Amino acid sequence: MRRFLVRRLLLTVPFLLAVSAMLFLILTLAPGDPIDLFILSNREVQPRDVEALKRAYGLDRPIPVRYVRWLGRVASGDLGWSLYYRQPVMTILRERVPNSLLLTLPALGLAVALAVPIGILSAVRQYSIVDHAANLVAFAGYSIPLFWLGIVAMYFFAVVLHWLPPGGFPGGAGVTVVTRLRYVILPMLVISFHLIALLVRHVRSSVLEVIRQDFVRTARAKGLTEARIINRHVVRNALLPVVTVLSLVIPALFGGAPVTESVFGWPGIGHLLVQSVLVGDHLVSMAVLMMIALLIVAFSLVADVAYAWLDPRIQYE
Amino acid sequence: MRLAWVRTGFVVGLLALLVLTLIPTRGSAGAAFRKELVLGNIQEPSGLNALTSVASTETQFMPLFTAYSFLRSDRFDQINDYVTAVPTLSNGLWKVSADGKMEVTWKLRPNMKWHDGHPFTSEDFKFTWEVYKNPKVPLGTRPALDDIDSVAFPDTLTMIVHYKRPTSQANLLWLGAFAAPLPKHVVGPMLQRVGAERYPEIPYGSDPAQTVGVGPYVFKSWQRGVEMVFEANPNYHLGRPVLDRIVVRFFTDVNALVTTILAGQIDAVSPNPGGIPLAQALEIDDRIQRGQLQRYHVSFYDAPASEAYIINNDSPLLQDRRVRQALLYAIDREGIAQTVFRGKVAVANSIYPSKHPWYLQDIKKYNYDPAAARRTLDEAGWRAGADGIRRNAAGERLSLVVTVPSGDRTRERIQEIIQAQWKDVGVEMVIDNKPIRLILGDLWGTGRRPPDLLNLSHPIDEFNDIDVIYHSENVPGVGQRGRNYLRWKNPQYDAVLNEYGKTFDLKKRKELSQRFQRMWAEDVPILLIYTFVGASVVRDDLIGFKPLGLACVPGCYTWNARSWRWSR
Repeated sequence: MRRFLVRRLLLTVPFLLAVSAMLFLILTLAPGDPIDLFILSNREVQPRDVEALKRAYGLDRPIPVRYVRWLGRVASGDLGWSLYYRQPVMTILRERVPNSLLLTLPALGLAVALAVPIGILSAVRQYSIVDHAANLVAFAGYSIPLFWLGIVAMYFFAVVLHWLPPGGFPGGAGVTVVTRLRYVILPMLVISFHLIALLVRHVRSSVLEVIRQDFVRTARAKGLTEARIINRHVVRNALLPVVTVLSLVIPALFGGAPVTESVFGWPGIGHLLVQSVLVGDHLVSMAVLMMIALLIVAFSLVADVAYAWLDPRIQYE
Repeated sequence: MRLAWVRTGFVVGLLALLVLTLIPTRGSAGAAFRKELVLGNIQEPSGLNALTSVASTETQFMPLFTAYSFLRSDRFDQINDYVTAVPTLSNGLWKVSADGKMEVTWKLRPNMKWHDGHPFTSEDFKFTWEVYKNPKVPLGTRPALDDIDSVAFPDTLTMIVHYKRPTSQANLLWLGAFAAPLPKHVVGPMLQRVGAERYPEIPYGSDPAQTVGVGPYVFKSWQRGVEMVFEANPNYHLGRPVLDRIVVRFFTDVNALVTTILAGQIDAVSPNPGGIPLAQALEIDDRIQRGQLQRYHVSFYDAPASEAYIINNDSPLLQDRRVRQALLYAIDREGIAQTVFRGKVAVANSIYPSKHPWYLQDIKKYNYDPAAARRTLDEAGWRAGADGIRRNAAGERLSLVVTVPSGDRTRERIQEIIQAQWKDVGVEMVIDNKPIRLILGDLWGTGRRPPDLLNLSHPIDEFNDIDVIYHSENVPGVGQRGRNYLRWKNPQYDAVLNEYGKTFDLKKRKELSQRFQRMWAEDVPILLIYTFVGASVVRDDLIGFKPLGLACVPGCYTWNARSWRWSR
């Protein structure tokens, strides 16, 4: 196991380098650079000033040179300076990551807490009303665009019912936990709904697969109760594919929920990513995307370890 | 066992959510007496630094926390801010000598202080002037540099600006629009630290803790993408503001802004830029008329700007003015005004709105007339081709590339209408839409086929005056201003505009502007579609929110933020 871990960790380095080079290339080849932002707010900007700015930020150099310089700075812990936010990129990330976690962790918790029992129930009572209802919800959650769901949720809960604030983020020192939670609920439910749809389908299909296995029949033949069979024999085996899905979903969630955060004006990492791409603030986009890449690598490693824990037959040596 | 635990957790979680949703929403609705105002905005400033934040969205926020020489009221009166008097020829602070040179004297109000208590003096202006004219500092706007010879600072309250030549914009521009100074004691050390070349990196204007102004409100906090908070400055030189706090909330999605207004969580939204687009304001107005939204009203304002299809006057296909005239004849502008904007906007026949005192009534008008368009194109030598698109003697097709800011649904819709109407007279429109930042970054494009027309706004006001926009000296890359986006070069125009620029007598200026309008209407250097109407959505009990309409002057709706108040 240890050798496996070391090998995987070493492989991470070239993988991240390749990803960063590709991202850097794509972002810098896209039309417009950060100096365009300056022009955007200075329509009278003079060509010589544009040139001076490009020189000051090294944007007049060839892309490989810029990439190597960026890599060197990142290696020394400097993610650069955002021309749009006029702050060091690291400072922006430090502000935004906790906001995203405040939204996405409860969303994930709620989704897992709901999707696993619903998925199991749906599989155990296949073709029942419960199963049909769960399938309907799952397909709806999967196919309704998040931005539309967000706007509708806002309209219904904030405009029609006046139960919850329509979005935004409670700032300032005097904000209580309750206030903050009230702002979390709507975007959290929207993200959860989408996740539940995703997870229910996976849990259902993998439970259906396990439930027909010989060892389940054996358990039944032994005279175990249905609850015990499901709890002890089915769920644990059925969770493997769910772990795979989660290992892909969690890094994306740590990277914020771009659409939902934008609709609800939630200042998380997802909102930051959308903004930085829209305004061409490449250093910020790079930092966010690399953070997501790093998390994907880390969580796929965690998933591999979790497989071995969930299923002792899996050996990595 | 494990399932039971999950079930219990789930039920407890749901109950907690239910309890939280039942607590009444804190917001503007139902509060007894409030000292806070929440504004909604769809554009966020990139910073609040007087020398770099010169976009119209930004200059609306600036007067909240800093001071300008003067501002304009909704009736266009001057409101003196940090000066005792705005220089004019009649008060003697603005002198024109026989050799054409000028001297403009600015007198500061005494005993003014920055928010941190530091005295506000001409030293701050001297410092700002040094930064402004330092070529190493990458600033965009330095229009006054072409005209200013030198500036003297004889004492702590006086500044004397010497001009090389007469310019009618002297009391508007010398340190950027309305001259907002930087605090020397704050920005000086920052600039020393980062160096002149990296001026945009200084935290002044970005970090509220390191930003001081002299305005009615203190820049308290800024959560990017969420909100800016301003708190009352008790020592404001014109008196403490009535409200304690102004919160500006930012929305990336205009639908989210509308929903938040409908939920009663926003007190006021200004007209565009940055505020509410006309289409959404009309939607809210509809709801108010139908009784679906109470306690709000929508106000409409004439704006000194028009929606324009800016012609690339370097484009070979558009050199003949008959082609430009035909393009205008072929657009049903009245139809667009009626169908898209329910008659709230008017067709733009001149650079000025029809209520403007300088508007020329008997100007040549181009009412929708496809037959006239076809005839004019025939006369210009463009004959209908086999594919329905006209060709000239050289066999070139009359096919025009038109760029509209992508994602702007209203503009894209109008573009489709115009495309169909041009096709009807044998003109092909090739749509090449781009994000606004790419359009402004590289106006006419450097690609294989630059656009022939661009859809942007065309403001004509005291900053974007006719001589600034139409003089050949101001073609980008030629002079300091570079605001002749149309690339319009015509010596006859230059002669009139030279005269206009150095004329101070209003009657004479009006005559010159009308002479200009006559030539302009004949030559069609730009296709104007309709005159802008700005709209604001405001709670009924908010008093004093009086925007100037859509305008590029600083503080077009924040000019009187100090006196905004609630009626109860």
